Amino acid sequence: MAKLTKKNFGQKKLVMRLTHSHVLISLSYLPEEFSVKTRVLAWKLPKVINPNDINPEMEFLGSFLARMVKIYGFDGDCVTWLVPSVNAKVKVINIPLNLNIKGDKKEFQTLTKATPYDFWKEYDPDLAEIRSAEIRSELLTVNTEENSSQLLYSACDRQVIRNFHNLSLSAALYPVEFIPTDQGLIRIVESRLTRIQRERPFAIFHMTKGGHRIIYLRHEHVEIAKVNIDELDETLLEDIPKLDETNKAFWDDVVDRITNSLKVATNFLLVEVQVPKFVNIYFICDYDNEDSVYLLLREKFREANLIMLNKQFDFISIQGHDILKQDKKEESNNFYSGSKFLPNIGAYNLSYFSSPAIPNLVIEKKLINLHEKYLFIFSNFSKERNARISFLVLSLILTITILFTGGSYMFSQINEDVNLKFTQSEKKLSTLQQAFKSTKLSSDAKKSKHLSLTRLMNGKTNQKLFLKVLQDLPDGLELERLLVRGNTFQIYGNSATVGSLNDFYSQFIYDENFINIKIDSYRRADKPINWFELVGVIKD
Amino acid sequence: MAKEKKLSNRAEKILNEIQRKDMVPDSNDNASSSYESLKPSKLKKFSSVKYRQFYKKNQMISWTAYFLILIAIILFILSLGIGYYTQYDNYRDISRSKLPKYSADILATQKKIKALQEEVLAIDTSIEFELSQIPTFENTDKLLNVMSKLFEDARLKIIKQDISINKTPVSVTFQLPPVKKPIGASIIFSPIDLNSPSKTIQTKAKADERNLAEKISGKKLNKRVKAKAKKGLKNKGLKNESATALVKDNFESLLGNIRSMEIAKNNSLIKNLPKNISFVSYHFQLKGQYLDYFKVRSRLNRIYPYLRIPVEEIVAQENTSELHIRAIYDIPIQSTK
Repeated sequence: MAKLTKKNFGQKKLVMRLTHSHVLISLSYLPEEFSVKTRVLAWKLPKVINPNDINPEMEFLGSFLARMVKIYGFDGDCVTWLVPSVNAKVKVINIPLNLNIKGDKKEFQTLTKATPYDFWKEYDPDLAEIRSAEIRSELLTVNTEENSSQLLYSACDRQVIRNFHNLSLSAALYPVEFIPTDQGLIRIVESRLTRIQRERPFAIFHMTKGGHRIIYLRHEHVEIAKVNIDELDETLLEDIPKLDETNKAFWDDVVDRITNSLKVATNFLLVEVQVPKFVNIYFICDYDNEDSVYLLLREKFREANLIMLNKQFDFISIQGHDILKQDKKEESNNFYSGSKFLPNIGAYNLSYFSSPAIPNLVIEKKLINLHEKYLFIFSNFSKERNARISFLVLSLILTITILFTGGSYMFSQINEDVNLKFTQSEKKLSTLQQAFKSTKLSSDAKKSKHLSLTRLMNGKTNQKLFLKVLQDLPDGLELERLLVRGNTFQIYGNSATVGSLNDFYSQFIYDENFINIKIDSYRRADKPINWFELVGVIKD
Repeated sequence: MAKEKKLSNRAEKILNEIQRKDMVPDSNDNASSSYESLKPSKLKKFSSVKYRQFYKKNQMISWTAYFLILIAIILFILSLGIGYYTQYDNYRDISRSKLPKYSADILATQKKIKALQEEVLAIDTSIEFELSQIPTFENTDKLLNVMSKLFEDARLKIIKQDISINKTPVSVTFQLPPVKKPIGASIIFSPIDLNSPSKTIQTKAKADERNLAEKISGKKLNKRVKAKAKKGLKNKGLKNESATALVKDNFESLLGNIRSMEIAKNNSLIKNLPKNISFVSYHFQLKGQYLDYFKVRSRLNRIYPYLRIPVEEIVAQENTSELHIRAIYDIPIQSTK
């Protein structure tokens, strides 16, 4: 049994489809290679309705759906509706325009915008019965030789769309997508086939009240053939029981009639429409106890293989127990085996586990949304959450920015007087420095003046030399000449002894008033005395 | 009462259906455990207004516009904020580091200016005092009289005198009498250089190349002056040792070098002196005793402290006790005009 945790739901989307007896709801899609897990809910209607015409049942359905929505807390959710095949047929239409050519494309756009109804009426005879329709088309292929284009097309009466629209709103749901059931069906069935099966044509037999049909699909072609089942048999099918010996004979007869109708429809496709032969028909049934019908039908219908895909799906019901406690209740009885949920699953973004050599263009086309505002309504709702988060984040950033700016402004204002003080200080310092420079210049000039005046006193300075000579001239020494030039002096003389000469020299060198004292002396040849020359500088 | 009132067929049908819907079928029985448990916080609630809004137009356009406006507002406010923050950061930096530094600088500069002003004031006072000691131009006669009287009173004979008044101090231009060195006693040894015993002969030779003026003054002469002196020597052909000795003794060449320095010195001297200062240059030649000259010199220095004596020469002569004295007295005077 499948285990689903809260985080392991896969893709979430609320998809609804009306059958004659139920509102079929699927909530999630978690694909794996051999199985698809999906959470579903089948809300049984108190009476049988015609799902192809809900207009008479609008009020009843509205209030009934509202109750269900309230109970399950779906209110305020976006809903995707699957529109019955009878109301929104999926077709492949040929138009005599080559949509790869710019001119043809422009013409096509002009015609589909200006008079869409008149344009499409030529190619879809069903439109004649409808007063106004929602029409969607997607280019499949272009035939350049015939200058024609094949389009995947679907149209739906606006009134039907409005009915589903109003039904959703009355149930407090936001309708954002209206998908044709046929498209949902072919997408989900194709997604679960093997690569080889996908490359070959196949058909789907969908048993649904008032809309039994075979959908034939190949690479770029879809054909739908109605399977005519008698109204009485339809009524009988609503209450088909589990087969046993007592009722088997009765139901054999009923299924015989259905088989015949199915054969007629198959023949119609193969003979009348001349579609390539298909070997597999996939069985989808909206009725309860589908196994009973399937078993009998498989016995009786031999034209193709009738296959049921139910084994590939784990339909996990959220009805009747808490899904979060699912892992504790593995053996739950609430797992459906009904293929009736399959069209719903086709409305999700499907995952594939094989790549066919020839891709199926019909499958590759995006979902046809028949909502009147299909261009933006879905994105408005799907991106609302992101937009809200973004707004919240931006608002938070804005608040932080405002706080930061406010704080910075406040602090800068508080400290503005600092700047004023600084500017004043700067000016004051500059002025003071200028004043200092000028005072220094003036001081230097005055110092120079004073120095010059002082230098005029050299007579007084040199007096030291004259006093020195007078006081410290040793005995036995006589001067011949005294010369003073500026503060430089030169003394010539004779001494009887070298000792007295050295005494005289010592008097000068130990006196701080004189510097650079040098003496030169030698013994005279003519007399027994020493001649000397003493030079030096008088210190200022 | 309600039953008594007859309902229309349609109303009756609807009532029946409403009553029937409450009869929950078997498969819906267990709905109580509800899907709501899957939605931990059901924040969204159905709003028809919201649907109408979303149905009306593509909200992505308006959301994008709102986003852009919001982002623009955020960016604008953020840029403002960054601006204010930068300003605040700047202010903080100013108040923390620059302002105290500036304040300290201001105080220091103020102190320096004050000290300098005080210094200038002191110098001014000093200059004023010094200038007051410089005799005026009108007193030049008195000055000369005082000087001549002092010399004569001291029994110094004035042999010759030249007096001139100049704007610049006197630069010595006259030739000093050559000093004739006596011949020294002969000896086998070469002269001893006591100043640098460890130097090699080469170094000694180089050292000897030092100009005598440098030797005496202790100051370096510029290369041009030295080269000129050297050239002069070469011209005189004094290449041998005895000739070198004679050149060394030639005080004239030394004086020539000093003279050029002195002119430059004088120029710088008068540049800083007050413009009204002139110099009375008293060039005289005397005969007399050293002591007498010393006394006069001392007295003159006391009377005129600003006595500039650029040159003085006292020479003793053989066979006489009188000394020959030659001097130049430069006495600054100031004109009152």
